[in-house]
Amino acid sequence: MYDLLTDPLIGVHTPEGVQRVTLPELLAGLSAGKINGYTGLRAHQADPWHVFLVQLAASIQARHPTAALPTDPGYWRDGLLDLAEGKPSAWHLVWEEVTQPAFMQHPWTDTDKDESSTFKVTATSPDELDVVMTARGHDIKSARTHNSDIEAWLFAIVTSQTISPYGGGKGTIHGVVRMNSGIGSRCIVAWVADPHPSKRFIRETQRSIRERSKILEQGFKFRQQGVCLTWIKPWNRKENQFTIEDLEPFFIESCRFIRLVSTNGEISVRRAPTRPQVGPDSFRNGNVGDPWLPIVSKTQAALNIKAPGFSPQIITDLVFFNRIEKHGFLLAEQLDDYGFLIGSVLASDGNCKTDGFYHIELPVPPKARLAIINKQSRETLGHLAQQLLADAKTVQQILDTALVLLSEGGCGPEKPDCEPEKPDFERVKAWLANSRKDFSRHWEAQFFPALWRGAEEAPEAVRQGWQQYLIDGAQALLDQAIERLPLPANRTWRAITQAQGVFRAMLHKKELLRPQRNRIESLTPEEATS
Amino acid sequence: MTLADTAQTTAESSLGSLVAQMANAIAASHYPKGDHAALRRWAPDQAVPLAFYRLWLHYLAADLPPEGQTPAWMTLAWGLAMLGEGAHDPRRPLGQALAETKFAEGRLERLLSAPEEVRLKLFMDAVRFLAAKGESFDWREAAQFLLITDPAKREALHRRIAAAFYRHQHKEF
Repeated sequence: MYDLLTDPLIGVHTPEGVQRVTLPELLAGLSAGKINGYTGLRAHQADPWHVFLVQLAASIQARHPTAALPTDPGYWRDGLLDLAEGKPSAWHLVWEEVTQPAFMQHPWTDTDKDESSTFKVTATSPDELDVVMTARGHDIKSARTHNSDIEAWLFAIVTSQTISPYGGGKGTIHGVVRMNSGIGSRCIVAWVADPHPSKRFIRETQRSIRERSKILEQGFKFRQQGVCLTWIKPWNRKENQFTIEDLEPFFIESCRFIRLVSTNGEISVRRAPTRPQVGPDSFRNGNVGDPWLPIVSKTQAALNIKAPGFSPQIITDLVFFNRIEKHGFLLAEQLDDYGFLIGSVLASDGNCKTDGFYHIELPVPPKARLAIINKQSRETLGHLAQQLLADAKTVQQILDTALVLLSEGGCGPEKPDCEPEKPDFERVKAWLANSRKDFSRHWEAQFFPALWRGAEEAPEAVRQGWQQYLIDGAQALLDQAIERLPLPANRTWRAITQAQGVFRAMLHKKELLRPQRNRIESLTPEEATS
Repeated sequence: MTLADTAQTTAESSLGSLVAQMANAIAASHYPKGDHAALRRWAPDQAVPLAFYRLWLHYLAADLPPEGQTPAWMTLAWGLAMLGEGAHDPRRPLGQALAETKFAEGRLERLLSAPEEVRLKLFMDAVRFLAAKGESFDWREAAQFLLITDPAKREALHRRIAAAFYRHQHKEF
């Protein structure tokens, strides 16, 4: 039921308008450059879905190479069946014979059938299946998609089985292997010449074919032709299903033992407890050659990104290879590859909870691309990036100090008899945290435009302008705080003066510029009252 | 110097020179004692004395201020008369004078946070405090304090007064 090979389940935008296509037709359409977008794909599902398609296409191409990506759906249909070792049920979203695989769902053994009544019903709607714990981070309410929306079930199962982290369950709900340990998060990061779905698919599939050869040579012990679709094999659940030696480089994970069951036309999901799918357990650092997954140089483990996601520091590390390995799609092959840095991650707080979905699409202007591709100018720009980040951190600290002093009513060491104010402490604390966030937003939005200017202008000039921008922004926030923060009535002016004083003094100490503030103007009697 | 800087300087100097002229006129030995006393006796709920108009038209040889600014200028004239000779010291900010005479921090807080209706009264209290100690200060700041109505400009002035106050107060510790 709901056969991806023959049923047009996927809604797409094409030059001819909106159409519904099968999975082989989709791969053919992408290869022909005719898919402009999807009708039912949500933002957080886009990258996992893209990676899934590229892995499929690259694995099929490895088995049946062609000069260009074929635009014939027949080629892709045969390739998909081949990957499934001739088991058509592996491409059915719902397959009633549970001893056969279904799409991203393992076949049940006789033991599973006996124990099936103990399997937990975990979802009755697509977004309950879709990385459930992310609901708050994605700003979407769960269970909004209808049970009968088959396309939503398709995208949900791909997302869930592709990027799920460790889910607790007393150690029985595991995530994918392409992340640093079960409490990590799977990043998907790549330099992309053009984010158009078809263009990105073609470029990354072609690159993946070359990457695949590199991965095979790198000593991961993958097989040239091993298991690609992990859900087509039985899994006793009490042991790891595979070791790396069983798999091929672009093996597609199906990390949780779930089954979609249709009862009276209503789909529900049943899940059973398992060991991690890929073992051994000691092998859980995520470094399996995945070209979208950044690797930390020091630990040789997958980069783990927590909230608030792709900070300028992390993006800078990725762009300039600070503590990050030169590997995979972080290395461009051509100048135009440096068009956009695209990344997404479902951040994990390491406590069986996710901390939101984060996505970046960072465009790089042409001159900056030239600077990045040239080793010497890349180092110069990388150095400037670190300086700009350090400046932001310094001004943030100065602002923090001033805000704390302000909130405490201006009590400093010179006033030992002055008791810091503590009424409404929680409110003040929350307010300070928000002010910090406001300042982060203020500078993060301008960080990369300022950095890219460093490819065209003298770094010193860029840095001076950046510092002035930071300082003026911090002063504006301090002014805002003075207006809005509930200050102690008997110490308002002490608080204001001390906060402003420490702000200026610390700027001076750090040899930073003064804020450019308006002085009192128009002091004629006539103008003063205008 | 840019055109804006020139305008700024001109604006400051026009108010500054007017305040200085007024201070000099009131402190001059030939200024009538009767007018001096009339200015000092004035209170905010009373009519403006003739001495004030004479000061403007005769001694300053200037047009009268706009009607809305009359109470503020009258208060300035009253204050200069209260402090007497040497009342105006352009190098000593108001905040510094208050700090060095141990004007209470709470009183400064009230003065700078005062609503419009009591602002003038609290300013006069501060002037009486300084007069009792025979202190002088920069009356241009006093003029700004009384004349500026724009909230942003007023806020900036308050910060300047408070900054000077706390900067000099801290020398005590």
